[in-house]
Amino acid sequence: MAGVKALVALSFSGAIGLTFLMLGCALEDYGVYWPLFVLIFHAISPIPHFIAKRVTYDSDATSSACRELAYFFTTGIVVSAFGFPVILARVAVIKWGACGLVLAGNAVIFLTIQVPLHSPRIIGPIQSCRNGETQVRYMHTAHSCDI
Amino acid sequence: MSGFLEGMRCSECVDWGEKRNTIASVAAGVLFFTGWWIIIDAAVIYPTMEDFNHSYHACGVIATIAFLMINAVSNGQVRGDSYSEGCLGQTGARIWLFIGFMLAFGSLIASMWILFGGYVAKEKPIVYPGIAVFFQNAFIFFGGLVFKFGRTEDLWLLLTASRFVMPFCKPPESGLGLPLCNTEIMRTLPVSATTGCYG
Repeated sequence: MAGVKALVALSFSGAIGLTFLMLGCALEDYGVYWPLFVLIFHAISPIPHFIAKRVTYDSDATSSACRELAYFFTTGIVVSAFGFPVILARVAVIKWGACGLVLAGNAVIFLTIQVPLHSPRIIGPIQSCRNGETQVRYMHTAHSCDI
Repeated sequence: MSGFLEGMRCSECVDWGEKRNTIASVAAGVLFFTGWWIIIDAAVIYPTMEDFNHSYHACGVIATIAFLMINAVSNGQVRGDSYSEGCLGQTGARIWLFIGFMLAFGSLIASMWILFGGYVAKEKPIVYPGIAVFFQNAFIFFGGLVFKFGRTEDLWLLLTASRFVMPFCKPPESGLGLPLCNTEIMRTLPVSATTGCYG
């Protein structure tokens, strides 16, 4: 039941974030839809995490160079998503109010995306083995499906 | 009240713990990409050659190359205590790192030169592009330093150590094996008498 609650909470916050984003675009005072390009940043922000998860040998390592590089790039994508509407507002393509709404939406959406990625217990074990059983993650084995 | 600061230790025993590398990576990412967005801002606002000479972008590009070069070699390779020699060995790693740092310092100095020689000394009406170039290079430079020296490679080694210590570490049923085992590893390490730190 906890997993369902977490999913509902996440989808709620995602909807809130998207609402902020659309408000920044679609309110009558604003009406410029260029900020929607931040959706690209939202879409690609989890990709470094997935790559690092696949590439690192042992997911239970305390840390690894690959994962740190993934954090670096994820941070870059997040910073870019915040920088983009600011630049749009500075060249007067959008108004500063719209920029603020987009930034608020950004914050909420990135929380929605990144929090479950880095605390997988929220939505439960999502890795599953080939035979369909849920994988139990022990520390001393890289692949623990056969336990 | 007297001596209540004696218990404080400065940076030698700050409990960054396992989060240290993550925090350093995120901080470096913020610095690096903020630097690039500053220069994007300047380039978008002042698109003409008179206000912002396009060749000034070379400075940031070289700083980025230096960032990559500095962080492509690990400290272990430079000290020569890594497991694999790499393609050029320890000497090659040192030369590579030397060139990387030279490019980094060079681009930082060049950006200051651009700011003062290209904008302040010429008394241009618009100085912002020069300031943007300087801040871009400063941010990239410090981002590189944070990414290089803010992280510790001990956390990678702990993985290797935990492989050996692991038989003494029983796998808990909850699936939360990592923190439990690591604290046990930490407790098995000798505590230094002078600093009070592990190891």
